Formats: sequence, structure tokens, C-alpha cells
Amino acid sequence: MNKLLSIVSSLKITCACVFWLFVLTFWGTVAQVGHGLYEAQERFFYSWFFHPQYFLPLPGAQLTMWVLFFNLVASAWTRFKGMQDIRSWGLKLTHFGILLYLAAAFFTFISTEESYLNLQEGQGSNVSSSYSEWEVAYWTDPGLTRHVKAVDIGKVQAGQQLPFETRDFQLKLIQYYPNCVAFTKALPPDGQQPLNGSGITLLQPRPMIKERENNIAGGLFELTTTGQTRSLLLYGAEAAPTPVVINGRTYFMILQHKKYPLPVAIQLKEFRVAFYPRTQIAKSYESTVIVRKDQIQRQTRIYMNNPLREKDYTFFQASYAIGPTGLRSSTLAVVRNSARGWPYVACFVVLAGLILHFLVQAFVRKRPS
Amino acid sequence: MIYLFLFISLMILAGCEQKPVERQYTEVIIEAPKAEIPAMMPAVHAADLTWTLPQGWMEGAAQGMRLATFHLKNAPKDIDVSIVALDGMAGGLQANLGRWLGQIQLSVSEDALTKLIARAQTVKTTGPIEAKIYDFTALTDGEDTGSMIAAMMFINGKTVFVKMTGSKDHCRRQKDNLLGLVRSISAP
Repeated sequence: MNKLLSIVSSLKITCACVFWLFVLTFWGTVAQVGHGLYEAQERFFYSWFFHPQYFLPLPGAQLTMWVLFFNLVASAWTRFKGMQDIRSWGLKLTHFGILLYLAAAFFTFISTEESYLNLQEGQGSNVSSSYSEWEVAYWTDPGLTRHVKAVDIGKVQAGQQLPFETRDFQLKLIQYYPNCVAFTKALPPDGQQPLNGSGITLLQPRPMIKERENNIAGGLFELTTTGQTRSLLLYGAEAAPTPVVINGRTYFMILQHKKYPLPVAIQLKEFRVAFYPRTQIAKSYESTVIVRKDQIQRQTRIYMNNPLREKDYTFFQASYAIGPTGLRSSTLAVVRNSARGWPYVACFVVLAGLILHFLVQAFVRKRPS
Repeated sequence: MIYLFLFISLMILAGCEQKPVERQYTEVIIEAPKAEIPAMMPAVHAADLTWTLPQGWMEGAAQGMRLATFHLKNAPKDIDVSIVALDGMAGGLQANLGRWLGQIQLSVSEDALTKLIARAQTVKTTGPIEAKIYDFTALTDGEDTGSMIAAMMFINGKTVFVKMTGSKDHCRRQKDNLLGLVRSISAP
């Protein structure tokens, strides 16, 4: 056991891990240009191993950080176990700070929610949308305030009932396509036209696209109401929900990007973009938004390196679009990170540990052995 | 060491998949001022235009500003064809051509753009309406890059665009079908 601990706690492993993390950070950042942000993240930072072209598999950042974590724990266990001297307190604190960094990275990895908020000038919302996860949702309120009930479709298997807590209808998933195209004038294989608000009759699966936000999901469902079973088709790019009248009440059903409720409502007041002369390349762009919470509202600007922070949420200026008619829309990237403050705490712990270590080394004399 | 093992086990359990459950939330939608909404709506509805689907093509659903989308039956990813109709001059010819060039990531000189406009082919639709064809495949030599062939026509005070995007090779192969589609467009 002691031999294993001494191997795991090797300083060589620490140095190799830190160096490899440096390489991965550089490589992963450069790879974003060719592969896109999310593929680069998945490949270099979230993976245990990744496979470069014409080369053997290499360890990903996740594996490297786990190795570093165990290495530091084992190192603290073996090296600091017998060290009760005040001269080791600084080192102990520094190691604890680095472990706190890794714990923050792990907590961020499992708990961070990344989503987006796309608003045209004048529009506002209190929910953001996932880039790649989809939900089947319904509501019955026809107005601008909707009490939505939703189920994550990615967790439902074909043939399984969607766990909606209503007695008015049951919805069973027949077929789900993570990426597909829709057709309006094609005849479905069974010859029966499914319920759909946009007149879509057929979905055809497509291979998944690397940029996950470009995939459009679709699904075929079996809708059972009192004594009647119908097929319902929902497609992720539909602009409006499919209205279904059940027991005299209209249910608006939709397949949409999974929504995350926000602590505030954000309204885009104005979007401004400046271009380099005689080009269509944006020099700078910014969103002026109105942040509403309860009855209080305030105005703020979101631009590069100036995100809006609200509790655990950070709103970054991500992109924009100008429609053919000149109407502008802004896309804000929304990141929810409950461990946002941890790295700062870890940083101060490491700093305090190093200061303590150097002060002790300078002023406390070593005991004669 | 036992505590460490328990801590790691708990962290791994926290990341495990869970069963689907119903979630509830209240969505508040703040709409854009009424005066701006019509600008985003298609100025001509699908029902106002008719067309004939070329052989070997499939028609997809209308989406957003698109009145129709078309793909090849056998190779849907090869080309993307859309019909869009907008009010009035829809920003003008030069501005639209410049925007489309940006969409296919092509940068050309003003001379080349002027030549493209001058060489635009005229096609008569069953309307009968005159449509101008702007063939971007002529702008690049040799290499098979992303390209576009677009048709532009005016129907009942609206500008109607029929755009085909894909690789230069695919666009050239499907040009006759695109012209067939443009010729078939009419407004009852």
C-alpha cells in the first residue's frame, strides 16, 4: 500500500499533468477554429481519451485532472502525514487550494448549464434555451404568460410514455430523430396524416451535425385522449405549437430546445453593431437590455468582456443577426455556474499558503535535529 | 482513505442519468412593439404563390421567412433551395447580392459584381413575370467551393427570391431544375 502511495504521489506525475494540461489548453483553443467550440470542448476537455489523426490515443483533460487530483491527495497523505511543524503549514494550505481548484472544476463540469437567449429588438423573455437538448412541452394559456409543463425528450425511450401528470391525455414516443428534415407534401409510410400545426407529414432522419445547435430534432408520438388515439408529429423548427383540442380545452404542444427559467426577464431594448469600413466584418457589437425582476427594472449594456451577472447566471454577448428587412436580433450566451466563486476562493487560499510558506521560511528557524 | 472513496462515489453518483420527469415553469414573453412585427412576417404567403416541384426534388416545410424549402430526393444535403418573399425592394439588388456573397463566404471586387449583374439571365415565368438569374458559380475559377444561384423577381409589389446554395458543382448540375422552378412560379 505504501509503495503504491509513493508511486501515485510522485512529483514527476504532478509536473507531467500540469504540463499536459497546458498543452491541452493550447491545442483545444486552437482546435476551436476548425472544429467549433463544442466539438473542441468535448474532444479535448470533457474526454478521458481523444484520438488525434495518424496517432495513438492521448489522455484528455478529464483523465489528466483526475490523475492530478489523486496525485495531490496521495502526495498530501504521504508527505504531510508526519509533518506537524509550522514550517509545513504554508505548503499544506497551498495544496489544499489546488485541490479546491480541481473540486471547483469538477463541480462546474457536472453542474454548469449552458444555454442561449435569442431576442429581436423589443422582445424579452425569462427563459433561455439549451443548445442541444430538446423538450416536449405543452401549455393551455393562450396569452403571453404560459404555465409550461415539459419533459426532456432525450431521456425518453421509443415506446415509452412521457410522464406528464395530466389525466386529459397520454403521450407515447413512437420515434425520435435527434436530427431530421421535415416534409409537408410527402405521404407518410402508413398513409395517415399525423396531427401537426405546420402541415408537416413526414420526417426523415439526418446524420448528426458537429455543431450541435444546428441539429433539428423531430418526433412521432401517439396521443391518446378519451377513447381516441391519434398520431402527433412535432418538429423542432416549427415557429408555432400544434394546437390540440381535448375535452373542449386547447393544448398547445411543441418540441423545442429545453428551456431554463432565469431569475430575471431580459428585454432587448437596442442592438448596435459597427463594421470595419467597406466590409461586412463586425468591429464591435453590443446589446442594451432591460433587466426586469418583480416590479423593479434596470437598464444595462452587454458587450465583449462586459457580461451581465445575476446570481449564478452570466449573460455574454455571443452573436447577432440582421434580417433582410434590417430588423436586428442579438444572441446572448447564458451560463449558470453555481461554483463561480470557488476558483476565486481557491486562488486566495493558494496565495495565502504561499505567503505563509515564504514568511515561515524567512522568519521561523529550523529546529535542530 | 475511506472518506475520500465515499466523497468520490457521491460525486460520480451525482452525475448519473436520471429518469424523465415532468418539469414546470412559467414563461413570460415580452413581444416586440406591434409596429415592428410585420417587418419580420413574410409579405407574401405561401398560398399567394404557386409553383411546380422539379423532378427529383422534395419540398420541405415552410420555416420562418421561407415560403418553401427544397432538397434533392436522393441527396438532401447537396443543395438547399428556398423561396422567400419580402415587401418592396427588400433592401435593393446590390445590398442583397453583397449579403449573399457573405453567406457563401465569397469576396469579389466591385467590377466582378457589376459584371455579374450585367450578365444576369432573364427568365419568363408562367406568371408571366420576368425573373433575373444571378449565377455566383461563374465568380470562382477551378475550385469547387460553396456557391449559389439566385433568382429575383417582383410580384404584386413584393420581391421574391429563389435561392439555391450548395457546392459549385451541385449548383451547376441543378441549375436547369432551378430555372424550371422559377419558370413555374405564378401568382393567382
